[in-house]
Amino acid sequence: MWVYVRLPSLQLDRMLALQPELAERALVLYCEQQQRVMQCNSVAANLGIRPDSSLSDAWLLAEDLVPYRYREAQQRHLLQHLAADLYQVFAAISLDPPNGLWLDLKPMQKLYPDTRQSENQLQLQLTPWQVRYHYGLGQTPLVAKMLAQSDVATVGDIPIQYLPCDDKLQAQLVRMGLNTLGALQAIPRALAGQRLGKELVHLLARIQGEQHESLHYFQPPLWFYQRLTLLAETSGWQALRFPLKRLLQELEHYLEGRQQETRYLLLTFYHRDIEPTILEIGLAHGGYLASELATFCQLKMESLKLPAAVLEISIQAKQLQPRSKQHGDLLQGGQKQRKSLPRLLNELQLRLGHSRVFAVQNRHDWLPERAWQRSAAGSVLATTHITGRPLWLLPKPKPVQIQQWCLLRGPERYQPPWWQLAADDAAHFSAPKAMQGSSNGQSAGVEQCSGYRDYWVARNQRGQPGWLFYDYQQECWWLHGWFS
Amino acid sequence: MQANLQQLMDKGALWKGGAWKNSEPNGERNAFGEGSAADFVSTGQPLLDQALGGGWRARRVHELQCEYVFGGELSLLAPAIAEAAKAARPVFWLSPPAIPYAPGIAGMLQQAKVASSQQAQHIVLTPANEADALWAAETILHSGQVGVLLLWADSLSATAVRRLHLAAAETDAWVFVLTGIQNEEARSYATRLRILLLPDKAHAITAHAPRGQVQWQLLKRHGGWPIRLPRQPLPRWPSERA
Repeated sequence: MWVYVRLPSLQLDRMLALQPELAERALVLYCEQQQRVMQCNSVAANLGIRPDSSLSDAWLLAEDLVPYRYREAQQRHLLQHLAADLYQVFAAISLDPPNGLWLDLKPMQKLYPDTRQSENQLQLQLTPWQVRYHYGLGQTPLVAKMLAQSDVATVGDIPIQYLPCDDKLQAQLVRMGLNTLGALQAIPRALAGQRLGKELVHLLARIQGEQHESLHYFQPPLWFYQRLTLLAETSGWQALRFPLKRLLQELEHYLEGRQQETRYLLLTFYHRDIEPTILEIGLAHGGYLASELATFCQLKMESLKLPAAVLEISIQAKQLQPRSKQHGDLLQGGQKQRKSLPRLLNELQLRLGHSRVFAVQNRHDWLPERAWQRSAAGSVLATTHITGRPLWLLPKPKPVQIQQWCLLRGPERYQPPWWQLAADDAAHFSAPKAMQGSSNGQSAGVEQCSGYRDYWVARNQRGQPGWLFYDYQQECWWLHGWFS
Repeated sequence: MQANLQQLMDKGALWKGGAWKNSEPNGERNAFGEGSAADFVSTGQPLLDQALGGGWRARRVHELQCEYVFGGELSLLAPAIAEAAKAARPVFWLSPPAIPYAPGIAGMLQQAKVASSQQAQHIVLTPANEADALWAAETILHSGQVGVLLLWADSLSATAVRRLHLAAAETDAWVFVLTGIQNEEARSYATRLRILLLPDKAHAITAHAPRGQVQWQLLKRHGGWPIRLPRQPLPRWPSERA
């Protein structure tokens, strides 16, 4: 069994769903090259505007016409998007652009033994889309399509003009008085073939299901994309918030259906003549809630200035991943947590910058400046086997006058391992870099790293306990950390 | 008016100066109504604990005015940091003066017998300016996902402190603001502690005075008059080898 879903005004209906304010006026989508109406809403239809009538006729019929350009790419996109949504219920979907798609019910027979159940599922799935659709149920894809197009009840009643063949053949059939498919099928096949040619025999075989149809089955895309035309040109962020919210809700619906979350949003704001403004939002932790994502977008939007008025917005969500489990303790936490930690960290990173929010982590290295590292915010501090380390480490060791210090405990010798001693090109080694900026001018970066160091706990004149080391290579003292 | 006053006293926002000293810290906490043992964390210094009525109080903003940074101020906060790790709640370091050294922090936690399986998260933020830092502090507090918040700032306006105070009241966190010496203009901190380092005259004779000395001045404290505590040896970050 096959179902063909025909969506005669998909693009227009989606526009209306996202911008309900348009519903009261006569809205048409027209093809720019042919100046013809492609899709129209019910207000326009009541005024007598039909798809395929010319745009000038439409202007004559409706004085407050709202014409928008019909976009073929967007139509294709929407159809794919719709198919992706239906994919949750139907496994075998085949697209028939620009405005239709087939569903094969056979693979779903175990789940929905009755075709009525399939129809119910289809209706349920399409309801939130707020689009007008017709569907036909047939034994073969072709029959289903013709039923959906003609909107008649039985196969025999299908008018002959819906038969997918060239005009010449169709005219021949009409002249023979065959006005319905039933009448055509009543004629013996061999006879029809003799009179009307091989093409018709093929067609009839396809209608009967005697010939296998080669359809491309739909595979759901790996990302989310949606584009929205704004009602009026907008130049402020404030006014963009509402359309953006609708887009994000669409995204949430999409992600909810897949139990996924996104880590990358790309917002594009299209202007009239200049290059579109692009806003990238990378998230350290995935998010899927529209309200949450709206906050992130707003944080990012505040720091960006729009060069011109915005006509359209598009949103693209990539790096979709399965939702990470929210592991919270039922007994301990929860009572005062209004925001999850990943969300908080996302917000902080978006506002302050990615590199300004990080966690500190232990690293297995004896060199003090390499015994720690920055890690992704939110990681848990591991244990260490090195004891007696200070709380503070100076980003760059500071040269000190040893006369002002009183050594308390030590030494603890740091000896660089032989491979670092041997390496000639030790310039990439982090230790000299950390020290090059220091005021001591004798910068021989390569030697510095290979130096032996003696670490001491020492106290300055004010009694503050510091962490000093003596560098044998340079023969001077450095302050590297504080114990208090 | 009397009822309003009583309400404030029940909340612990207002107290009688004299009543504090006569009674035990334990009894006093009950008298304040909401205070419980879990609200307080020790400073690690018995003298200071006593003066503060049990230690640092959660849900309040405490100010530490340090004459010099690295003058033992963080050692007073080490128990609070360990407490946050035990409760698996993150510690935020907002614009710290140097890098919080991971081995040093882990060493303290191990010494405080915080099991390694527990989650100690230390998140360092280095905002570009103070406005961002304050925004971050408020956002963190409003989220409720915080055990200890440490904020280094030059000087905060009365409004900024007030906002922090309100945000802190909604959480279970310990909030500390670390600044330089400030004038005594009123601010809505729960505690204002001034840490003065005393020059060590016996510097040359190391055996005689092995540590520096510190004086704590409590300019404002919960449940008592300002007080100047006797000199103490400078506390150290508790991660050293015994």
